[in-house]
Amino acid sequence: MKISVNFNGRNVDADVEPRKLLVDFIRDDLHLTGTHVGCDTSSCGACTILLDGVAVKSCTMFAVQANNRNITTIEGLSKGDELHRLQSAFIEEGGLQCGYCTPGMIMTSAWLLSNNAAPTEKEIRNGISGNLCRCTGYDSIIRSIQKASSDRRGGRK
Amino acid sequence: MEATERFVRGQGRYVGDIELPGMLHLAIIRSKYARARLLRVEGGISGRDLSAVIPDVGEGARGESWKIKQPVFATGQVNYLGQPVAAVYADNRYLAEDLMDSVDVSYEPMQPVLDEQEAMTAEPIHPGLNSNVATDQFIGKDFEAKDAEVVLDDAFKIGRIATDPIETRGILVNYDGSRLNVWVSTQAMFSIRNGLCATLGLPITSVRVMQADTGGAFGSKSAMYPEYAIAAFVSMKTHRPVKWLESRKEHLTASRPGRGVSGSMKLFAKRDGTVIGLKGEIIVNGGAYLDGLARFSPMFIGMQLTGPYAIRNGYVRAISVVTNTPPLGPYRGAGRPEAAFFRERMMDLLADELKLDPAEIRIKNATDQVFTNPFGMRIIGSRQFMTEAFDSLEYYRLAREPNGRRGVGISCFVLVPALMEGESCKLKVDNGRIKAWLGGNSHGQAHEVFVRKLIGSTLDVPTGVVDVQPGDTDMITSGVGVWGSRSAIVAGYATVLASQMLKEKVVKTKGLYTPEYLLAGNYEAEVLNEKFDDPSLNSFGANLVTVEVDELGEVTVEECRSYYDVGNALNREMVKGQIAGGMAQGISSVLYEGLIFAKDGTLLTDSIASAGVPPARELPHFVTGITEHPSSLPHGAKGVGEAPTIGVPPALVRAIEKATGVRIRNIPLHPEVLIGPEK
Amino acid sequence: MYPPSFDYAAPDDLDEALKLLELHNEDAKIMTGGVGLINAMKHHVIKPGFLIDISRIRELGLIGDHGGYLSIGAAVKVAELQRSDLVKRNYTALSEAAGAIADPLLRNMISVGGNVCTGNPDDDLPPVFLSMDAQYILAGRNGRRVIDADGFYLGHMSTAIRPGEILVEVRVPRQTERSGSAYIKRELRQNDHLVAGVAASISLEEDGRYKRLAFGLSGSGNTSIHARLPKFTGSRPVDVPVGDIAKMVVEEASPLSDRQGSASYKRKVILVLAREALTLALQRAEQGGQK
Repeated sequence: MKISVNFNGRNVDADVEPRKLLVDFIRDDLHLTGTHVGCDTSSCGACTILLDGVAVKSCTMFAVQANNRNITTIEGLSKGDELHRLQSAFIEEGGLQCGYCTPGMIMTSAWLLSNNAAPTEKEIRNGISGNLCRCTGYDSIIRSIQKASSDRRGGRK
Repeated sequence: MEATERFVRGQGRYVGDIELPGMLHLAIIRSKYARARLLRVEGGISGRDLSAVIPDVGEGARGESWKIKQPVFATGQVNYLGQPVAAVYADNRYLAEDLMDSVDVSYEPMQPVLDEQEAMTAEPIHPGLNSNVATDQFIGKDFEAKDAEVVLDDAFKIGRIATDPIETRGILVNYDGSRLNVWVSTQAMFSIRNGLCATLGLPITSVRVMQADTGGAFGSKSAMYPEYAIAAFVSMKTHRPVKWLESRKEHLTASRPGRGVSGSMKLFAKRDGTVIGLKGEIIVNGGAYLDGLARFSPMFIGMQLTGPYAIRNGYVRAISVVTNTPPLGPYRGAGRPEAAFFRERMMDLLADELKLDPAEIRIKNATDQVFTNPFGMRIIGSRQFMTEAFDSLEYYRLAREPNGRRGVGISCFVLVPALMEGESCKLKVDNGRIKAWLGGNSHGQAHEVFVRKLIGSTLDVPTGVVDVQPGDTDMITSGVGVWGSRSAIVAGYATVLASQMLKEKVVKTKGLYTPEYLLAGNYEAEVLNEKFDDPSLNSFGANLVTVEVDELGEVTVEECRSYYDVGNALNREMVKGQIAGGMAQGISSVLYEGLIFAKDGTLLTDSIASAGVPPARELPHFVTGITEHPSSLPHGAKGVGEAPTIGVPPALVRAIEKATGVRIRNIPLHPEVLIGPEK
Repeated sequence: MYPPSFDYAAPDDLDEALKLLELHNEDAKIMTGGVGLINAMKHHVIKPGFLIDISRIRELGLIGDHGGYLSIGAAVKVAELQRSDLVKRNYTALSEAAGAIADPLLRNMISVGGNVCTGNPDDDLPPVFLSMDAQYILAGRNGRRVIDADGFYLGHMSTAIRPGEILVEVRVPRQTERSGSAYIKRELRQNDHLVAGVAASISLEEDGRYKRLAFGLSGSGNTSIHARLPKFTGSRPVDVPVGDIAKMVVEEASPLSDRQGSASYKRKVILVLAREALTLALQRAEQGGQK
């Protein structure tokens, strides 16, 4: 089936089998491997992307459902060499260890901050609960998001 | 680019991300039953094509596996749910899965034996065995505690837990006509190399293993697994690259889980709180096939039962059994949390019996000098540490606060790091830069940070000139792996020794050492350090947890604090990051996690959610307190990685016990056990 | 982890969707959010040959205040329901139930239609709709029919939807000035089966007597359960202890023992949740919170 999807600002036309999951289309066909797969039950959030600006789990959508929509993956978050403030904050605050959940966690954080520029710790805990991290215990992730939030309010990009 | 920057950019290179031209994808047909006779396997690749057994490599390996070896493919009988029966491959994963239906397997289900206690008396699960008991040994020396004024006994059980790294297992094998080139998600590339060679009967030189970025492991990624051998076999057969990626459901059924231990304890004490001795029986659920870890585990648990206390008499029966569950593997702590749980539960029981404060009774039994326990474990003086710990954790203040449905618990433990073998480091100076290879590499612990720091400080060079290379068995002669809270100690030590060796080489050629001489030349040094042992490396830790429990038995953890002696912290922020992550696992191992099987062997917890990996909203903020008493090694390091999964569960369980008045013997806990019978 | 091949269409008009459904009949499945469906397909629990994605049908994506009732399109995402000020203000339990579903990302994906139309006892919205006497609108080739939520849930994973029908809208009667509602649930682990959930929905007479008092239960039987307690109509809240009412709610439940707890534990959970939900709903009604 023919689909046309905007990925990270670029239009992609493709012919996909309806059963192909969006995450596999992103990884196998577009070779954007920053979007990960960590489970098979929509639980872990390693595959999180933004669909028209809203964070969703790309393992629980077929690629055909993305027809005529805008998708941002982790690769589309930074502007070339310049890291997005969330990416910098995750590095600075140690918001990652093995790095596997990180792209999904950052995409969810981007969506979270787009709706709430200054979330409380509790709002962050609830907001990132669709993303599982097995390494950090989440504290450093929460600090990273808080840092990105205050950086933005402080005018840093 | 730094690993962390690659990761935040989505430019990690995990096995699943690596693509090779002509790559095939493997799908495994697995047993639907925990125990069944295999009547027929038609189609795909099966035991008829590849008849081989899995060797004992990786964490806890003892050289050879038990008399019943794990086959790559089950034949005759399947012995755990998820055991590989056959495999198919195709150009992509979708097509490979479609092909799974083409394999015809028929079973005659048999009654499985799932539980370690049941296994003691149940009919043997394997044909030809007289019993399910695989090892049964006594450690320590029998004693009569004639002067004991109090004798307490109790029995405990810790359920199986999946390691559940967010990246599951995965391997990519490319046979190039003469060698197997392997990319794998692992804690121990040399174990995988040796395992592949032993399984497939290949010489060591014919396999090259490269560690891909590894998305967590927590114990499950050091062993050899059937799927790795199957991928290699198919690559050799087809002369094409073959990739296998584990699904989460496969991880929960067919990766090696940890824990699964029962313990009975008997404590002999005086009324002043002095513990005179302990006796115990440990039964480890080894799963369907036992390797060295599973056989050694009950003794390893037994040996640590005295913890930081000077308990002079000890006698423990250490048993491991086979069951129809996946082979036991290590999970963060691997025997240490079990020992701490059994012991600390008894110390709390003793405190209650004697109406003494749990902190007081612990300090009373501490030691001021080096102490060798009845099983040979050595510790340095623990009393001062404990005294500092309870203050630092604010135990006395928190214990005085009015409680109601609240409770506070503490625990003390010894972290015995895995030093059985050393570790390797190779350094190569070229073009003004220093390349470093390790025998065991990061899967989330950022080894590059301490390697750079130690090279920088030993050789007096800026850390920026050090390039830590990805793990590759072709680039370094030998190595061991990353587990057992060992890397900062053994890999750190190897790095220091290799750096010193470089220094000596500079002195030899130039007459004296300067960083400029070093960086201007071409030098190489490689070290595999020897086994070493020092009681100062057995480090102390203490935890404090406070909880509130509601009328339905739901536990809310309010405070979760650590006080760990981490030796010379090579990077404090990373040490604290390890502690926070481990404390999360400590909490979830009590409240949320567990692999639960139905009586017929069906796994009821077959998603990462039902297996209990908790999201942020279910966890508290962690207070990660450390103290730094350097070890006797030149870089002063001690271990830390497993400390939180050892210390948190007993402290948490005690806090819950104080909040509810319900004595807790088994984990994971269901809230139902915390509320009284229906009124 | 992958479904067998199927065909897919995403019509932007309902008639087209109904035509496709008629054409493919039993081989077709309707997809709104797709979360439950895709998971079932990935694990080969169901293997439809044709998927009809109705999420692009504009009229199904609307929430509207229609005077006498609140109209919610089947394709509305539950996150939108959770966030809607109108829903929060007047149908508090509905907002709470929407916010209790799965996790924040899945709430951006799961649709109202998907959550109410399966008959899964774990679903969070049905108990609220039951307690509020909602109606479901089912569209077929021969027109629409209205069915009370009360008559919709027939048994485990079984509902009153007939072949060829699509659930297109849920209508919730306008809540009076002195009404209040709440939904509370217990789960041991996020995204696992729940232990139980209770929705309470009440309205009071001018003089403070109970005018209507109803509960809906999740995780308390083989499908969603409606517990109407007409006997309290006309009583004054001070005369009937909340605990007594909660006990009657428990009698409507038939929870099963499983990994989430024994039946008796679940009954205790339902008792406590019913007490808490009713107390909250009463507070809200007495404050005139819902208008």
